[in-house]
Amino acid sequence: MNMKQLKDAQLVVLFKNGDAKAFEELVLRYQAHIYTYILSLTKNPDSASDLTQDLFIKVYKNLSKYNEENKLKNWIFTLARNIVMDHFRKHNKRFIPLENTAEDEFSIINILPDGSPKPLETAIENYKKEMVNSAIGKLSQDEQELIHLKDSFTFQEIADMQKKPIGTLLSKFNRSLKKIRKILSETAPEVCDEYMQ
Amino acid sequence: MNICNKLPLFFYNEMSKEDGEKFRQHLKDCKNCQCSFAMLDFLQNKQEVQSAPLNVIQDIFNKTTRRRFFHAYVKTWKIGFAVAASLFVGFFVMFYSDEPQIPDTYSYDISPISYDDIAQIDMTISEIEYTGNII
Ligand SMILES: [Zn+2]
Repeated sequence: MNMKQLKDAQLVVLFKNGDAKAFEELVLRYQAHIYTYILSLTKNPDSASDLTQDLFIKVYKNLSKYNEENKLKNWIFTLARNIVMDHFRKHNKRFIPLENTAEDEFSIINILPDGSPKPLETAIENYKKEMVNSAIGKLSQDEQELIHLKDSFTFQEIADMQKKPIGTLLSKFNRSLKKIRKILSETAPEVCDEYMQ
Repeated sequence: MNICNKLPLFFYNEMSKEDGEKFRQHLKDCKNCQCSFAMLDFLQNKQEVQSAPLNVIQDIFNKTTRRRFFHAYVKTWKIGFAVAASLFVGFFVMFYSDEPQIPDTYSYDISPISYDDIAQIDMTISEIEYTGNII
């Protein structure tokens, strides 16, 4: 049986019937989105690794009792959020600001990981990504979270998960876009010019 | 809701076909939405989903599905044998033990006693009190 073709709900049923591979498929299916989401909140790769691990262990322990198979993704992300919030509480942190890359003196050479020569296009592309991620990092925590959740969910799913009206989320999302635009126009006007062409 | 606010729904294709068509018309004339659309398009290509490090995934499996519990090290028949032996010894001790049974303190003999018996007991007690001798 090819697990990759199965829906989440089918994997949960298999897991409940004792198929450990079904759980492993769920981990492989969600690990990247979860890790990116947690990393976006913690800004620390080590913490993100630890918390991702804690999360999936928690999912494993509770999955057999979980009955709303169709909302599994929402459940996993909600658990992830709770785990991160607990982590912040334990460490007395509300929000860890992103490293201040945008305001540092910037050179394209800095973004080449090992200093080895790379094609200029790759370096420029990395620079743009860096600028965008830096701009996103300057948003409020709620706004950042929404931007990252949007990678994995529809607005309706996020609204259901956070129990908020979809209109509120759309307003927040649009506000975040405007902020990103403003930040980019100040920190990297050349990036801003590109998307406006 | 302000129609411009719905741009993200249009961009991510989360509108009904009918609403999508209406929005497309709006987009042709609205500079603000055109700008936001371009921004979203740009953002989508620049954001990356990052995979967790391989050792993290391996550790998750090692602590969940591939975790080796104590019983995984001992063959099942050995555990079965040990359980059966314990039960046998337990029953043997319970049924063939010489230890006296502890009486139930809450049950006592309430068989009837006659007045003659009571009189006899009274007389015996009086005699003990009078002579100081236990008969
Ligand atoms: Zn508009």
